[in-house]
Amino acid sequence: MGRQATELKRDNVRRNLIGSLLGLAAFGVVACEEQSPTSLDDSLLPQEPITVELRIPWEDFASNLEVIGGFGAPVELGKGILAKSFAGMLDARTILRFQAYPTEWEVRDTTGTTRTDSDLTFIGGRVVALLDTIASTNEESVLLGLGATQHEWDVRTVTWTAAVDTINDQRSWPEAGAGPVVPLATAEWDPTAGDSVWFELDSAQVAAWADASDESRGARIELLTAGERVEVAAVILRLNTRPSLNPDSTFFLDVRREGISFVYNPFPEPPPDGIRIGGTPAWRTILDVRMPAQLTGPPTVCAVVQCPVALQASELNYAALVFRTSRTEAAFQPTDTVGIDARPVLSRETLPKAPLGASVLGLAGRLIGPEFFGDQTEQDVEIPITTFARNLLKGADEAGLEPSETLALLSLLEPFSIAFASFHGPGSEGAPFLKLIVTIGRSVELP
Amino acid sequence: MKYAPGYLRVLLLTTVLSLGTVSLRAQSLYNAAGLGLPVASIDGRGRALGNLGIGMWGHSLLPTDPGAAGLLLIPSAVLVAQPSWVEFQRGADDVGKFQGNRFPLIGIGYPLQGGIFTTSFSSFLDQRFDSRRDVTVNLMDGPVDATDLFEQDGAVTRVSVGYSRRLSDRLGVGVTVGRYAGSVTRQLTRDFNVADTTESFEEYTAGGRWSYSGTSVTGGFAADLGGVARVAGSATWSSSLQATGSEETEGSDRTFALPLQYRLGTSITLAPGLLVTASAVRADWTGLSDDLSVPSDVGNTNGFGVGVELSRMSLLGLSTPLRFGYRKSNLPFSFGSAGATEKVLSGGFGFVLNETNGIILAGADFAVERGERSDSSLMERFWRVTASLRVSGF
Repeated sequence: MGRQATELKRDNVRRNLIGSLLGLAAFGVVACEEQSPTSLDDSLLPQEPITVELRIPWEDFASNLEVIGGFGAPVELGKGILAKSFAGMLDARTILRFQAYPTEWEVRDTTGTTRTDSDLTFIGGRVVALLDTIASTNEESVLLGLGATQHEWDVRTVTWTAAVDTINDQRSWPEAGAGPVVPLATAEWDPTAGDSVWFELDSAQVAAWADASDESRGARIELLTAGERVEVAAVILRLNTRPSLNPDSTFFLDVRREGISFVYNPFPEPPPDGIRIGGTPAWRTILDVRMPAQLTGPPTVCAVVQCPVALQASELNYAALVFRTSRTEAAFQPTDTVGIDARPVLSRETLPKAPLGASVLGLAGRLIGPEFFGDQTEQDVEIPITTFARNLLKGADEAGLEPSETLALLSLLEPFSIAFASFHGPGSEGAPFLKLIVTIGRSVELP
Repeated sequence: MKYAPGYLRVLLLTTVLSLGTVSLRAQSLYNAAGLGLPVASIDGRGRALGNLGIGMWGHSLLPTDPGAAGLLLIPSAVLVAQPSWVEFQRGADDVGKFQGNRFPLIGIGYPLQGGIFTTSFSSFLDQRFDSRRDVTVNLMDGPVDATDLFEQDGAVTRVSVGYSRRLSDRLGVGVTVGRYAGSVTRQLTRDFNVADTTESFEEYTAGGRWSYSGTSVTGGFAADLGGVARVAGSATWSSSLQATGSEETEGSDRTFALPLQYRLGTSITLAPGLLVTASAVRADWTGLSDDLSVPSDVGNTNGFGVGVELSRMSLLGLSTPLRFGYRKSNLPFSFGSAGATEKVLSGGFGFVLNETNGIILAGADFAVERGERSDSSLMERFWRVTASLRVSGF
């Protein structure tokens, strides 16, 4: 009996020991972190490759430059522009339409109970405009005017001269500049005192804008002070309302805009020899890019490998289009950072409506300060296109599709501003060039 | 109940074990010298005894000792795992440490056609290492910093099949045919992400991948002398080692001449429970020096090892032999002008988990080694643990 117990105990110990050993071995193997032996000894590396910078002139890498305008419409900007003889030339007016007024509202009656009032009376109101103090050029007070439009207009297609410009329906304004209007009120805006102005309305004008089916209804805001440009960030209509459930009281009801756009004159002419990006409607610059298939220099490269040497995608570290900024026409000079994007054009023959590929620059794009198009012009700006250039060097992908050679340079958000970026074009002193950083080395061999 | 044929069970077990292994991992900076660092396929018992893979008393299933496999009576298998921790010093400034695991041997022996059919998957040359250098690149806008990283990852392995048989009660002979396999990837990367102005630069990469092939034949014998001693010897002939680049590899294909290797070992029972072993290896690698494109110091892998086993120890009712050993051998490739050597002091123990009629059906062996590898420019000190599991009679 005692011997059997001893045997059982021994078997139990043995089983536990076997399990522990196997577990320990497995843990030791799995838990032991793998680290590659790393040495700082130069002699263990293959021969050092050489990295050089190449600058390729426009004629050797680019062709078929086109500057195309008309992308997007002012209505897509969602804000308004005001100008009067800005830079001696630009006039701009903001035109908008408000949504239908509310027909009922929750109000407190004379007994203090909250109830739905469907018999509201609008006894007056005010148009409140929120102005962008940074994007606006004025540092002194300016005078703004509000008027009511008298003719039918279309918020998507309205321009300085056209009230409606849709298919089979083109109608001009009787008076250029979205006019004529019935003057309603004026207001003075001092940017040092605040960022909003309001225009008082009487009950008759409030009633005139109540009919949502009236295509001629609308408000036009204009700048009456010459020489400035003002940006309108938002506009609302604030209705002074008297409820039928408590006629001795009034309250304000806010009505948001249905649509806002702006009209301006003159419309900028296409640049004869320059490069333009941005604006509203937006300008895009299109060009074909050709990568050098082989390198014949510089001598430092040819000292490492036999020239000419074919340039491989893996040897291209960096590629950038380098543009020199030029002074934009004063009326359209950027007042805020300009965001530029670069995208491959997927079907050149269908331009200007060609579909574009994914951004070469990523979400952030290439941001350029506004001063580079004004006081600090003539600066070189790099637009990195390394991914695009590498694809050109790689050639057809696995599916046999050749990469697009055509690149579109456009505003990061389109449209973003009435202002646009200008650069020197080919043939000028600051002509664009292609900057390449390449690393060339001998093939890696076995020891 | 019907079972699959024996040879099929061997093949299936080998396949399963091979799939379960991880690739060979780096355990020395000498991987960067010449063709790499030779890896001996030795189990925990042999490591603890300072043995070089031949002439150990009792059941042994090592690819370098095919004669001993002929003396096996029943199916056997061995699996070896080997973590190590290494500190190195190269000059005054280049110091560091690293660690890694490897599985240097999986072997199976199975009775077939009056003998033992063996198959093994073992390491031969370890080649993994990284290196880096800081460089300055002169661009038109001024110099910028960059880093060159070089990564070599891979190994030469050997898949072997063999047949061993007993010619008499005390003499076994065997032949093993091996196929060199494995691959190595060598990649140089220039990284510009060390400076703000160049962080958007893409890396430059160049490199290639080569697959190894070649053949080896090992023949050997093992003889038990009077029940108190064993003498074993083997020789391995290898064809040239072919390195063939992949389709995308720009680097050229290469051929390396591998040396003839001789091994001799013995174990002697001096007294009941007291065993001493000695073994020696000789291989001249200098013929390979002409095949290397980088000037390297190429020597031989001559070496010897001695050890003692106290087999009557027990723990918790289990037979727990204690082992101690010493081994010294040369490394074929080194960085300095003088050849590199490896010296190891070792100790270890085993657990006989299951034993029937003197045949160990299950056992585990552990070895701890403290060693040093050095030449005129690099010195490594390492701790290495070897754990092996032996099973028989499956």
